[in-house]
Amino acid sequence: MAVESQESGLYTKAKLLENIHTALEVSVDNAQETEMDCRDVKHKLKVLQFILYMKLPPYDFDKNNTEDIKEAIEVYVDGDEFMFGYTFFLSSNKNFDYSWSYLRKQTDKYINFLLEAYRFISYVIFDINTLKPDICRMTDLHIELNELFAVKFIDDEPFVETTVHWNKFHQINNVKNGYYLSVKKGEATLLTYHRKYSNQLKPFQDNIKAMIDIMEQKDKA
Amino acid sequence: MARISEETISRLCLLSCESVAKRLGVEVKRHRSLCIIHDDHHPSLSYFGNNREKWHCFVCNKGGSTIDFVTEYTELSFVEACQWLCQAFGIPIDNYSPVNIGVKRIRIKKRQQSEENDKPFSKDVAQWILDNNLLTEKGENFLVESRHINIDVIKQLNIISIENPKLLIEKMGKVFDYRTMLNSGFVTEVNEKLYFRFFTPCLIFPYYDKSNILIGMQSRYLGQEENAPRFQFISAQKTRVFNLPILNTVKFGDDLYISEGITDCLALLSAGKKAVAIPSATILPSLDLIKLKTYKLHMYPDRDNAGKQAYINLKRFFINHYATLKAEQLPDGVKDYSEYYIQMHEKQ
Repeated sequence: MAVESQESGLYTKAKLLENIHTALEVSVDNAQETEMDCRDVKHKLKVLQFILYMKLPPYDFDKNNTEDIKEAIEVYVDGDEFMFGYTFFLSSNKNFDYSWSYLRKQTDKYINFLLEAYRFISYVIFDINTLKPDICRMTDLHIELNELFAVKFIDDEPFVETTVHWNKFHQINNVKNGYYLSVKKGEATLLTYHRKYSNQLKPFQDNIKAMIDIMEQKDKA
Repeated sequence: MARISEETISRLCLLSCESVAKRLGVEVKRHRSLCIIHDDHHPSLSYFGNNREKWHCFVCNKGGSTIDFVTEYTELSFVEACQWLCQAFGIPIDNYSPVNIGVKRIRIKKRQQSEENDKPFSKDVAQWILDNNLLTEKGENFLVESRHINIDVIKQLNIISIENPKLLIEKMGKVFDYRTMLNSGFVTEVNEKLYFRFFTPCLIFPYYDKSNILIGMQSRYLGQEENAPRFQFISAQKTRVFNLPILNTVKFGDDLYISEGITDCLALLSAGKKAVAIPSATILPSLDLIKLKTYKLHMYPDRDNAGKQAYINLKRFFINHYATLKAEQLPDGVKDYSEYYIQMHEKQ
């Protein structure tokens, strides 16, 4: 990810990764995590870093270019001899009757997982940038994306602060058709929306605006 | 055969070589790139001139105009190179109808593995240079007076400086035969005369591995020549981490600082910190860096894009190897650790 991309006003994957690193350093410094959590988090961080750094064609929200992205992923996955060797090592054993079909199936599943994760992250960034102008009006609100990312809007640069709920990291696997987008105040969930890749964010955005208007009116009263 | 008019050639020679290089997919950073002719590991090819219309490699001594760049980098002939440049940069060609040569159809020459690069780093010659030169007054002024580098650090790292390359080559000729000198990579031959490859006057920083074996050398130019590269390496050596012997003095979990470039590393060492340096923001010496993963790693990223990128690249590398690299913040307005160190020193 080029440093230049960080200079624009929009929230980017690079900024998301930077947020995650910073939050992680703070939590390590404060020793909030148990030893086991720390041990797992470093693997999770590696996966997340890998997904965020994948050099793939940008997701096109208008044209749905998933086929192009899938082809690009196939180039990497099928072209990586070390990875192929490891896939063989994992799959070729007596539990699978030394069958190559398991290897083929897992490779296909892996390509789909990468495609889904990449699309999810692209949508996460899009949603954060779209919802920022509305939600930043209420500083005590934050959004959660598939229970995995918690996003606060702050006054200082980069104006967005994302933390990862590492204990919900498995949610990265549950993004095939869409994900849950919630607006929260502390622990309380105020609104939830099943964000499908086929639907628009606008209805949810309208609901948020309406809710914030009511909250502001109440505050004034 | 097609003729390209003198006027067109003159116009093509005024084009920016940097733009041409970028158009051909060559990565250009800070007006430099990896040499397109020899197997380069540190950017040795510089672009210079008012419009960066010329290029020159300080290692293989090749250079020229934009047309030379295209003919060297691709398999195009002189006429085809002119034709491609005209098409790529919208310059009309007099009395000539160009055939269609798209940039994608240009075949890039396989980078030549020069004879020199098949040879290992010449430890004997490098050691002789270190043994027969001291830190001159100019070198000491630069390090101690201007940069406040601790003299013990300089001695420990065996830093020397060279001001009289002719004398050095003369002395070297009495110890080593002609072929050994040329093969060492420290000396080049132009018109049957031998020249020292590093621009002088310069500082010489030796690179050692963890077992204190000499593995490379880097120079830091101290003169006024604008087109001279500030840092040079011997092309035969691989990119390595500077100051690896310090790892013998740090224990598991101890703090260790990584800097981008030797100058910051010297400042960190002078400030009493344990530090190593990567010579460039772009090429990471992975096999050396992996040795650092057991320490508590810190870095003061330079306040420029290259510095930020170096930090991002290193951080990414260490995350993949389950280690963390913590970014330390420089005070506002300070561009790198050296400047911060000088300011601190002067306050004291």
